[in-house]
Amino acid sequence: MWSLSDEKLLAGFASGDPEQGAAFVRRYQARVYGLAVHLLRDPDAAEEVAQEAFIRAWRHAASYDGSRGQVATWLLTITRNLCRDALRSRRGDAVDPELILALAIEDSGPGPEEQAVMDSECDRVREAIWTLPHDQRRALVLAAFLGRTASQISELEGIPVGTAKTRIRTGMRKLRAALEVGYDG
Amino acid sequence: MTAERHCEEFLRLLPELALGIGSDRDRKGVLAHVDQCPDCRRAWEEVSAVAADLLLLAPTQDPPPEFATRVVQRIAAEQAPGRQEGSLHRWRRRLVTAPVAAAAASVLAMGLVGSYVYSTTGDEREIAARYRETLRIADGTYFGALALRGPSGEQSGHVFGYQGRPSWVFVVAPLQGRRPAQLTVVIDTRTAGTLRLGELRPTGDVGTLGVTLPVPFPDVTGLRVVNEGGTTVLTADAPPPP
Repeated sequence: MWSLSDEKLLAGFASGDPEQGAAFVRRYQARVYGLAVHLLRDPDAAEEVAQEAFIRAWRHAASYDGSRGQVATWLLTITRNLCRDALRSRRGDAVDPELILALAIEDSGPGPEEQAVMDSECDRVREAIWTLPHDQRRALVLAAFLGRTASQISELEGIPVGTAKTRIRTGMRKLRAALEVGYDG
Repeated sequence: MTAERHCEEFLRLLPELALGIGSDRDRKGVLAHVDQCPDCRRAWEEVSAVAADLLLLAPTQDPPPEFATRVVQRIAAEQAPGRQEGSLHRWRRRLVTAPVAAAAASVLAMGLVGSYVYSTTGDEREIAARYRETLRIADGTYFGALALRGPSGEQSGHVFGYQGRPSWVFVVAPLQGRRPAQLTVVIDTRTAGTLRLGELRPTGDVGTLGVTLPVPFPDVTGLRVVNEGGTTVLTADAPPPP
């Protein structure tokens, strides 16, 4: 089962086959649950969100477009959006973005079944984001993980809104360059 | 404004939109533009890929034991003809509590709700009593709300549904630069295949459609919004049978 590509495993998952479904979940569960538990800081809520993320992936598998990104990032985007929905109904601060970044460096990576592909992808992104200045890294993590808008980042960091937007836009441009993506906006 | 200037303006907005923190108005404008500009569409896809890659930085952590088994069991329960009580109980906690703008049925004419609330605290008995009263109005057996979601799972609209006399759905979806007539609501059913409910009608920035259902509610397995080419652009989950 571990030799199946992500897309083939997703297709098996979507078909409702229990064995392939379990294999699909096990391939990504550490990433999905890891994102949820670090954003929500509540293991029970994180498990509920993580389960829901896989359920939604199963329901929407037919709409997954491989040309637009990996299965992992698609699944993590679903998870991130569910976490944002859950956080909106809660008061109190979300996780410190520095924690996300610090854990990203220390994280030993996913389990052996993902290792061949994911480690190289994660390492690539990890190396790329660490080429950015601290304020741009922080702005991108606040936006990407915690859904903070430029206005909210400006309040949080005590900077003008224009500066917050510049950090986001410049950070993304540098990240794209570091990841060697062709767009030059 | 020249075409190049238009593109420059939109390209500046791409990072925030790709990160999911842009305004609805900006998102609507950009999506309408990239539909018509191949260069900007390519840029949008590249920036979106970078934003998605950021999520790979998320730390990993193993979930509790048997997590995969529980997910597979939930999927099996959704595929079964009847729902397990556990998932139905979970559904019952998702109640609609804010006023709505318009509707085709008498229940909405009573001024019932328009936003989705997931409550894990609060007076469950009071909520249950309100829910029972809502259903009693038109001999209902089910009333709920579902999110409409795009391919990435991001919510983009919602659906209200009522099983009673009559049964109906009320769909609200952002137009995102499209003409309402380009978006059609369809339902997938167990016994009658895919049925067309109608085209969205403009209501400000969104398209809406309120119609009575041509089949019993338990027959509905899914609701989708499709474009002129028949491609699904938004999907709602199937409601549990009452």
